[in-house]
Amino acid sequence: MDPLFVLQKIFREVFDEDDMVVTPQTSRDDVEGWDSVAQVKLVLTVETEFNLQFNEDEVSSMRTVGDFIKAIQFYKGNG
Amino acid sequence: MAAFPRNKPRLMKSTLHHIGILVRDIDEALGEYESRFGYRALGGTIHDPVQTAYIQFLEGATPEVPIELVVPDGPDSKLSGALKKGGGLNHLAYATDAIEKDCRNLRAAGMCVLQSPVTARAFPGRRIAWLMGRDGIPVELVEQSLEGRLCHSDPTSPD
Repeated sequence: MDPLFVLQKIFREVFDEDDMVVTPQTSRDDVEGWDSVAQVKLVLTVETEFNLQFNEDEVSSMRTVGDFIKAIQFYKGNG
Repeated sequence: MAAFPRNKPRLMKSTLHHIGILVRDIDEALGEYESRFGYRALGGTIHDPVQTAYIQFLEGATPEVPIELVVPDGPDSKLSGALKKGGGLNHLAYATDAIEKDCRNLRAAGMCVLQSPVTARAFPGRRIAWLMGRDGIPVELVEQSLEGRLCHSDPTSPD
């Protein structure tokens, strides 16, 4: 399962934008509404989708789609 | 419709400790809560570096569950963004006698730990922790005092 493909689906769901397109470079500065509440929704949805659990530092430090991809690959053994 | 899971074990007792309300001005909000609902100030306004806010507790007809008025302590406060969106209900706080265990259990049950247990400015000698679930409502856990009191200590007393 391509993490970027799944992340795009998750971002569309969390930000309620059906045509949202994300790349690994997409950052919190690029997405209106990517605040601390949205971050929690993203993290919890990603955790459910990929069956993993980030640590506390990762929850606050992931600021780009690429950060999510790296963390997912780390936990899934593809990093 | 699914049956209510009456026998499902709970992670922690839902003992409400206080309700946090984000406002622009403590004195203005205090006046409104006093005149509308009969609340009164409980102690003085104090600075909470964990919340990056000034806080004021109010006691009403249900003194075991005070309201905590919260105002950002500056433009860089963690709460400034939420206030720009209008403020209002900011968090629910629950009392706990096992804060680390409850954090672990709630994390495993689908909440993010935003702040691991730290010493609380508003509750001398006790720790607080912050979590959030997908509903976006911040949840504060407050350690019960050794005496088992749920209400906070007088914030005007020295730490």
